[in-house]
Amino acid sequence: MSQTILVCDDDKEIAAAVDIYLTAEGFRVLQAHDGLQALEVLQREEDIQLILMDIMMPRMDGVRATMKIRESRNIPIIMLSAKSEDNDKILGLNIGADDYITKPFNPMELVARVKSQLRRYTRLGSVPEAPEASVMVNGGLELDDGAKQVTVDGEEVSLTPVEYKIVKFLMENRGMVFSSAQIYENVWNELSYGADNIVAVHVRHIREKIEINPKEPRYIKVIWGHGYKMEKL
Amino acid sequence: MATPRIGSGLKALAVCLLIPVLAAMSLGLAGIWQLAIRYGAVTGAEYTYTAAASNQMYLDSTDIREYYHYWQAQQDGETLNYGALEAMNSAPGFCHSAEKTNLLWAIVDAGGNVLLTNLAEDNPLAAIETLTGGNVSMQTFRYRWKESSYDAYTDYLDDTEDTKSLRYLRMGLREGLPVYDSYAADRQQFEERKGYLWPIINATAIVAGVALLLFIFLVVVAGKKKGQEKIQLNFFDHVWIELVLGGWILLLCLAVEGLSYDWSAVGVLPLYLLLFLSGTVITILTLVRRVRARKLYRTSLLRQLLRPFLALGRLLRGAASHTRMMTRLLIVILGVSLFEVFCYGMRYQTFFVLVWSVGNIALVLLAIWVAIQYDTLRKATDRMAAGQLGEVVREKDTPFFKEMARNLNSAGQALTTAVEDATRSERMKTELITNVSHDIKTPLTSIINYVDLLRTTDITDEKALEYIDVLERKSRRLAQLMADLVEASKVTSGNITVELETLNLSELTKQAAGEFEARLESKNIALVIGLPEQPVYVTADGRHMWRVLDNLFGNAVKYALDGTRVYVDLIDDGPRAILMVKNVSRDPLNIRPQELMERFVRGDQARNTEGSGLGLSIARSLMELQQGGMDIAIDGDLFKVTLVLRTMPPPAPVPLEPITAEEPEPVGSDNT
Repeated sequence: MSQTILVCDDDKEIAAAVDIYLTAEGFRVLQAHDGLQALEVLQREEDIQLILMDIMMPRMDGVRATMKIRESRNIPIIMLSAKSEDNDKILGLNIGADDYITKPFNPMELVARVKSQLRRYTRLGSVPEAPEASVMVNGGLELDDGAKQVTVDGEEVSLTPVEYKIVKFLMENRGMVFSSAQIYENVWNELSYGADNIVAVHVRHIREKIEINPKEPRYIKVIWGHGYKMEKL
Repeated sequence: MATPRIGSGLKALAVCLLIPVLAAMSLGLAGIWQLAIRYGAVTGAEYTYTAAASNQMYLDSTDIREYYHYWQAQQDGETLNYGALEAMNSAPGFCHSAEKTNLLWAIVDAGGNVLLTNLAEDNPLAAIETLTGGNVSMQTFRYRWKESSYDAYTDYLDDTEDTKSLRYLRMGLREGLPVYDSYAADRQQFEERKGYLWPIINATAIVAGVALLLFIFLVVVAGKKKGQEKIQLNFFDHVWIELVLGGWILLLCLAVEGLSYDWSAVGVLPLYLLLFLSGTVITILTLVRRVRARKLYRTSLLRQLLRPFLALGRLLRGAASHTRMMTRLLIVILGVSLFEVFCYGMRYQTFFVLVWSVGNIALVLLAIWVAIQYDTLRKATDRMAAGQLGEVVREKDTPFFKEMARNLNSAGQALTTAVEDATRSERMKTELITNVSHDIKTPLTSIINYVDLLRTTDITDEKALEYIDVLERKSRRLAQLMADLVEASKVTSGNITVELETLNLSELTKQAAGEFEARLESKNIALVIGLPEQPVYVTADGRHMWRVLDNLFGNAVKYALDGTRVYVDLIDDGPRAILMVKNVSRDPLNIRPQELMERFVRGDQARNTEGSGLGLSIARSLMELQQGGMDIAIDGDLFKVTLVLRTMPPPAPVPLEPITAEEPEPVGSDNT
């Protein structure tokens, strides 16, 4: 069964390009070219599972359309906009978008983000199995300490033992910031002399494995000049 | 650093050692001196005193001469006044006949006649000669008597030809010192103690050598402190140098006094010597420190005394170039002075005293009036300096300085307009660039995506594939350029928020290095990080600092020569933290650092194809927004960037504590 995605962009070529990428991944894609059109399509088609929404559009812009949709539906909405200011991103996420992708975008990243949102949506929609005691869950990130296994949105990620320990340590202390030295002392169980960047290198590798875009991480955030933290999702 | 680094502990030790060493040296010197004096007494080299050992009364050749004057005056029938008689009667030595003292003396006139002697023999001169074994000394003086003054005589020699008043005092010590007087007592003491002389001299020499070494060491290190380029001065080094030298001279006099008067075996002489030696050391050390710090003149009383004159000179010169205000002032002063002279003439008349008082009160009120206006103006300039522009002062508030107030206001208005214009145009520029960038990004997205899609079609033509590569590279570069352009315009116009906080720069350096390790390795470039032992805390914005390091490391990846090393050094320099990034450039850097930062703005032709050329400019602006600085140095192929930030005290250690203030990190954060 193929999932249906609504792509809403007033630039028909961009909408068509996104259509091609997503169709190639086996999705069914519908197009709309302004906010009103998107609402119409949404009413007509019941089984749309995700919406990609541009912001600057004629008739009704993406922000208003998103607010309108959020009044009745909680399907994932990913903003896709040329506006790359922090303020635009914050606004988009605050009015109910689940993710924000700036133009020009990397097609692979777009597809990965779409898949991630869909997995989470479908998993959250289903009744979650009672998590075992050894399993820690944070958003789409799961760590099963019994099986020594880490999955992101249900997909297994292969980590080295050290990387696994770091992820576990940060998972156990979600929302707290740890300096490199603190992570080193807790994971290696040795005193840190603080002269090398070994922790930073490992964290970078972990981010490359568990994040869609390591430069804009969702789980392991770099707090510059303080340390690292696992975002509490 | 050129100056040697000396441990302050070593210095303190030297000072602590020097005090007992100087004390030992003083004791030794005093001992030698006392033995030497007694030796002089024994050999008869000095006839400055004699005394009966029994009553310990002292007498020297001056006393003999004085007594002779009174005696001679009495012989000549002069009337002695009370003081002279008293002096004569209390002089004890004249009852010392040769039986009671070893000092034999006779006063002889120019004709060879013995006038006065303490010998009973018929021929005293021959007796002195034989009894002393020929060891006779002679003092020549004149006999002059002046009546009716307390100081009744003078006996110095002058070049008059008068032989009649010439007198000779011949004296010598009786051989073997048979009488027990002070000479005999001294010899006895000397004989008893002379065995100690050489040991004392040797010990003192050794102690003096040690003292000299310590002293030289202290002179060498005077004012230098580990890790400090500046010469260190203490409180004492700011005391007027003349006062210090005066104090030293005082100590010198004290020591000389001690040498002449302290004859006892253990007395104040060692203490005086110790004071003198310590004083000398302290004085020389402060002199050395002052000369090293080039403050000898500045710490002198002379400068203090000259200063008013120099200031007066400056004032007069200044007055000559400020004629307008001077004229006003002089007219007021002249008027007041004339009025006062007038009042002075009329000072006995109550009416004029009244007028004079009223005048003075009016003058005080005038002064207050002007002072208030002056203060108003001063506050207005303060406000202006603090950035508050526009109409800074109301003209009617300062009638005395009306023109100045008007000028100040016009300057303020002009500045306001200029600043407003500049801000508006800067803001418009940023908005324009941001808006244009949105409009460019939309077609650019299509270009990038369709070039990418073109690749998925089954094109087999080599040429066509090559063209697609070019299209892809250039479209990505265009996207990067747009992003950099927007950022540069925002950063240079200050149109971004800067949240300064205390950051661990060591941690940030490690984090940034960790982010780039893989990319540098792929280019075969090694990263060498040098961090101080203690973490360095600075005030900065974490995200902006990362952006700066991102740019610098990114440059290293792009432009460093393969197989070389990139050095990242963090230095804690007291109030500043310095972060240096050094790498060897692949291409020759025949360009000035300034141009490297401004090349985009300047439209330079020699742009590299890989970067936008805006990275360094953005980095520098970001550093300035964080109250820091950035400097670029090029030395051959060595490319060096220096970042400077203000250091902060380390925050109170709160381990395992979440940062409560949420980082403004909207990207990718998700509301589940």
